Amino acid sequence: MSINRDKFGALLFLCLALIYGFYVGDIPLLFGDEDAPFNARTLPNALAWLLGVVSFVQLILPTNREAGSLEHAFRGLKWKRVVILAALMVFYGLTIRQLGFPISTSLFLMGGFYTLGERRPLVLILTAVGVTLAFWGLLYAMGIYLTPGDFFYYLGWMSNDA
Amino acid sequence: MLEGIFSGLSTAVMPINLLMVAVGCFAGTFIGMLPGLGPITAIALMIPITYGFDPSTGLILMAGVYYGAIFGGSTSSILINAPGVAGTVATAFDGYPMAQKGQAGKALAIAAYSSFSGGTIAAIFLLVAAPALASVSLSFQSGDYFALMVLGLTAVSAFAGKGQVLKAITMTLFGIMLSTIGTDPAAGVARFTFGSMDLVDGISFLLLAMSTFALSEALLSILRPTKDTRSEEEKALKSLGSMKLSKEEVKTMVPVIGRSSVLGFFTGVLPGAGATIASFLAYGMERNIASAKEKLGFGKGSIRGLTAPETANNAACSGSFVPLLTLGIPGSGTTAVMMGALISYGVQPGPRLFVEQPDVFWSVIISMYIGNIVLLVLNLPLIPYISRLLALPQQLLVPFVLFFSLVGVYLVTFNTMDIHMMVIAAGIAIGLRLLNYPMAPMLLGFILGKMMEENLRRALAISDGSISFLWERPITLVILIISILFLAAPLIGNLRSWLANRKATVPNDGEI
Repeated sequence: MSINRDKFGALLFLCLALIYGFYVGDIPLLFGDEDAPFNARTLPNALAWLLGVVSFVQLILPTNREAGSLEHAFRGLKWKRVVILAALMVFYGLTIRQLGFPISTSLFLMGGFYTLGERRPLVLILTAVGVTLAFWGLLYAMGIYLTPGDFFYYLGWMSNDA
Repeated sequence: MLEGIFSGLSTAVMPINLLMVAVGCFAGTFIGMLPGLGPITAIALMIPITYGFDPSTGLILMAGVYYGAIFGGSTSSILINAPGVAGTVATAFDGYPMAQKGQAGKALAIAAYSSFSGGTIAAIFLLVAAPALASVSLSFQSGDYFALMVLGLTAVSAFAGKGQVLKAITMTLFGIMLSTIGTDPAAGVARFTFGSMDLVDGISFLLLAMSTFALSEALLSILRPTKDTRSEEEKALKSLGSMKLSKEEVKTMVPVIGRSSVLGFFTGVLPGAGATIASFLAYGMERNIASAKEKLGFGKGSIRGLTAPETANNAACSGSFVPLLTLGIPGSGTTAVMMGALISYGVQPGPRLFVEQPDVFWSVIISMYIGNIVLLVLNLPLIPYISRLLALPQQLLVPFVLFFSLVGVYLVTFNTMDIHMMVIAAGIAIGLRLLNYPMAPMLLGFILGKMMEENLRRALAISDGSISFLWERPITLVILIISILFLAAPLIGNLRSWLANRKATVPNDGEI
């Protein structure tokens, strides 16, 4: 038996409302704010209740058969390439400082093109490097300077005195 | 007012602004033609580019992109029956049959003339309505603003479509919840930061808009591959046929344009309605008032059937600027993104904008005329050339969209943590999209959430902690009653259909 897509969504939001509501208690209050008509916890409290009620109502309302099952909604999706692209984005975030904008961006773009099926080495390299350098130059012209990367400073190829 | 118009005109005709209108229209047309990418993504991708500009220039560029994206969406609707944006679905009803009859060029010309007329007439309405509403709204108090924001949020949910109302309400609440992350502006205490310094300032609007629209739409196009229609579109553009219209055809179009402009503008002004609803309403209205003989032509390439939705969707785009510019309340996901961008430029949209930064206010309105002219004079003849960009293969296009989204956010904060947060937010957005949750109400909730809390807090402080401010002023009370009606109408409708279904499925006593 598979759960209805709408019901699953409502269940997720009900859980979110409960977790959010639980952490409302962690919001610190200033002295005397406890009795104030509106404090830092007022809106979050109201939101937790409202979301809880709305998702609960959605859970108990008759099932919308048009929504289909959860299994149906997630069937036939090409996750592999999306996961690789997500990993590439994380890699980009981790390396943009160390390797610098030109190298990390070129690698990210090349990885992205390759993941999506581009196999011609010339297109891969020229497009990625060309766009990266053009964008880097455009940013420089706009007065935004992105350093080539910490890596080059460690190697001594670049100097901080410049 | 005249002084304002001239000041707006002088700003709008500055070379940089004229260039931005043209660039915006081109970029918008291109992105609007791409399957899966809508105007919100198009505008979100432009935000980082606009940071270096003057607020007027930035907003002019975004308005151009908005118009362009709607126009681009019409092109793919007409040529290949694949609307790039929801607002142009109704365009395909009669546009595509025309293209099939070998009149693609004519259909594109009708779409362009209708869009131009609808946009221009609505911009005239905007010119009159916006300053009037702005001067009225100067007398609004915190309580009224709170009520208006509630109205904006409930209307978005109410117009969400059949079976989507509760989901839209859920997403609105989720958006407001996200807006509570960070430091509480009044008390200065941290909320839901879990000790992370990266969350102390809250979630950036740009990060949220980019990851939930640009990133997630690009990734979804890979996750759920749809038929790549670009080569089909390119092929159709090569055999457009004549773009000339006969006198009779123009005569048929004129009254339709008049009616649909008015309908489109006022639908656009309503928070939550917008281009999609306006185009369907206009199509429905035109069909209803047509003679029995003309009715038969609808869906088979009727000029009236193509003119009405095309006029209305562009008029609605102009109309949606009214609540944004005069009340500071975005009526749609697209204007919510624009509002977020304006706030990040340091410009607060609302009634004070008209007084404090009239150049921004007026130049945007004037640039709408210029944008419409650009679309008609430059974009229409250049459509076959713009379409060449569609030849860019998807394996190159998607990484570019991802790159521009990531770097757009990174260039604002220079914080690599933002890139990782974007990946997480895009993942959540993809999951929610697969569960069929709409994203625009979340963005609207996120933007209005902070302002709503601030106004509610102020109103309560003024009324000494009493909630009587909700009914003391007639305007507040009226707005709140409308909000309740907006919210109750679809719920009552759903309940009635459920009861009717139940009655139909429960067998009568006599049948047992």
